[in-house]
Amino acid sequence: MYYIQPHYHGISRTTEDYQRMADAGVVAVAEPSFWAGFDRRYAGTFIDYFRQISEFEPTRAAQYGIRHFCWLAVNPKEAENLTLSREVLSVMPELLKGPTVLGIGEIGLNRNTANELETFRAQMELAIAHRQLVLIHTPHMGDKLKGTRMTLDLLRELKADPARVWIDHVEEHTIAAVLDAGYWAGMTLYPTTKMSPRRAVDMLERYGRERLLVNSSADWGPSSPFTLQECAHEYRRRGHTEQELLEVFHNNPARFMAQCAKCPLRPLELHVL
Amino acid sequence: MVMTRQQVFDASFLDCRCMILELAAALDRLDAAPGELTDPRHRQLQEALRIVLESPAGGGRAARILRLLSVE
Repeated sequence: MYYIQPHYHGISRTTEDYQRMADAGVVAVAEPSFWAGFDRRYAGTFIDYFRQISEFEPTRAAQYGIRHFCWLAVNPKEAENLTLSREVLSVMPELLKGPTVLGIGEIGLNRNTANELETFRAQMELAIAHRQLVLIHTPHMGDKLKGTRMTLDLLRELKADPARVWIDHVEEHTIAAVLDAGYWAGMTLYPTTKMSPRRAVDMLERYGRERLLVNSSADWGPSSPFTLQECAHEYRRRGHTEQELLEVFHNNPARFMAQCAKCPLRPLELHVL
Repeated sequence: MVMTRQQVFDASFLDCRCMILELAAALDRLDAAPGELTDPRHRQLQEALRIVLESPAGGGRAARILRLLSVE
């Protein structure tokens, strides 16, 4: 079984995680830009972070045969700081040319504030102008429903191409609206604040596999990269075939990411010899 | 291969039992603690438990509870 972990914050994890992911069949990861655990003060801090995830992290992953891609953005939490966000965005176009950079992400909303929305809008406009793929974070917990509505409203207003936009962290009360609007929907497997492996399989069975992505995120809080494999095991346990598993856990991420010409990953098909 | 209701029950029983016991123990802890509780989230959790016990056609308990817990 081959996996692509499409949303993984390697910078917050030890190298042992790469080794264990490789042992568990992960062939590629994609690392979005996120909060450092503290609010950054300087644009240079962002730029050095972008260099870390676009230059250093691929070398760490490569030691274990894992291809590493990344996304660049001002994350939703720090998007509240408009001055700093504008400064970072002014240098973003050049940085997006990096050979492992898939697009702009993760952008979106955290507490659904006006400043966050302004930075979100600016990054969406940048993505559209530079024909970048987009990865969107929807808020946690009680803010998710309103934040998802605000996200869909903005995307509709900007006439974003749904095929090139991935709205992540959907749950039972937001998934239908995202899929009905034609976007890719990501389910993030977290022990407490997001979706569980079993609930994710429920969603796969209810809505089908088209445009659905599964990821572990794996970052500063209690999280595990191996919830992906737990989800696959549950999917298999409920009677789904190995090809169906490949479609969800390898081919869907490959299809989305390969819309960026820098990503050579392609869907796989099993053949019996 | 579609699992029958009995098969789903067999596969879920131990986890449900565990989660119900954890919830029961948490509520016992709450009751045993001194002081008053006027937190609106408490009423939300009680409403969420009522939703869990209902049997709506087509399911949807998780979505209803998440909507209940959403901030508008």
